[in-house]
Amino acid sequence: MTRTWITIVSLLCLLIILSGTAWVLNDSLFSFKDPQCDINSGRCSITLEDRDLEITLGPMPAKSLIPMQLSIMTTGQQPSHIWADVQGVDMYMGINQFELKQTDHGWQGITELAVCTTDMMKWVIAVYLSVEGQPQQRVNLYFDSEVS
Amino acid sequence: MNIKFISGVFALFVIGGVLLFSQMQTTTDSSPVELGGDFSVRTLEGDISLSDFNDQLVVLYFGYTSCPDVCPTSLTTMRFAFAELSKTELEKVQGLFISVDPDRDSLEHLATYAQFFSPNIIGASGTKQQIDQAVANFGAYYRLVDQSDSAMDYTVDHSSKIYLIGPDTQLIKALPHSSSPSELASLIKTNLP
Repeated sequence: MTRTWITIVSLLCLLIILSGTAWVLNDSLFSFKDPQCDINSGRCSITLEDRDLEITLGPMPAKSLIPMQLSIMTTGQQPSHIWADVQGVDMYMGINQFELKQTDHGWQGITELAVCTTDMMKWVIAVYLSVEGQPQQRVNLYFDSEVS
Repeated sequence: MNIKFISGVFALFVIGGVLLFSQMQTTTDSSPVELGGDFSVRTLEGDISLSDFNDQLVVLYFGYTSCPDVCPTSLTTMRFAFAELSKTELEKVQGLFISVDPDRDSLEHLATYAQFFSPNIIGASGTKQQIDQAVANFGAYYRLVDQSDSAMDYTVDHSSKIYLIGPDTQLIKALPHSSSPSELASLIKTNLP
């Protein structure tokens, strides 16, 4: 009986430790949210561990169905792949993912926001950077949209 | 408590740790989701499935007929894109307009509405479950918004993309609302089966 309980408690502990570790790794080590960076202004400078990012998003203010360009200039080793995922902060707005292409003016991609009758809505763009030989990094950029 | 038992529990933790580590190694690099998959909807002519068009490209749009300007614009883009295709090319393409507002859009009305834009567009809708399945498969979005102070009672928030789908029911590309007919026609021509 005692053994059974010890086994159950051990398994529970294992589950908690594994879940906790996965959560910490996922949310802390590989993602970055800069509270000083307000992309509503259209421009953000972010310093990651190994690189500086100069990010622009516009035109601002963001409006439904108006194409928005996301541009990223980065120092250091160039990423092999950058893609982004646009989501409503408080509301699911479909899957809006797009790839950024490397150009002479940095990495660039175009997206659009869905039709929304809400006066103002909060959005987040999660930008995923893959650099060869390094863990993928994620930068979260928060912004507001207005009704067109 | 014997040594064997304690060793067993310890081994369990080690195995768990190894599994977690290998899991983190394989899942840390997120990639865009691959979209697509079969669904069924209703038309005036009967039920259809996306997989019925297994030798054609499907050009899909979600909307509703009371939609003031966004949906007509996208369907017009579809119409003019189709006009840029040869007869042979057009035979390999099927337009599909799915209404997310079946309470207001009857199948008769949808058939007439879709045909107004192009004879190559089928008007369809379905049960909420059918619509939600189609919407989910392609990462689209819609939401009925109460407008009790207006004559429309409610309006619909929605994504406005044109989905180009291959004969295998997998998404080739989701074109943004601002895409031109030429961009759509070009993408169709590049991907014809």
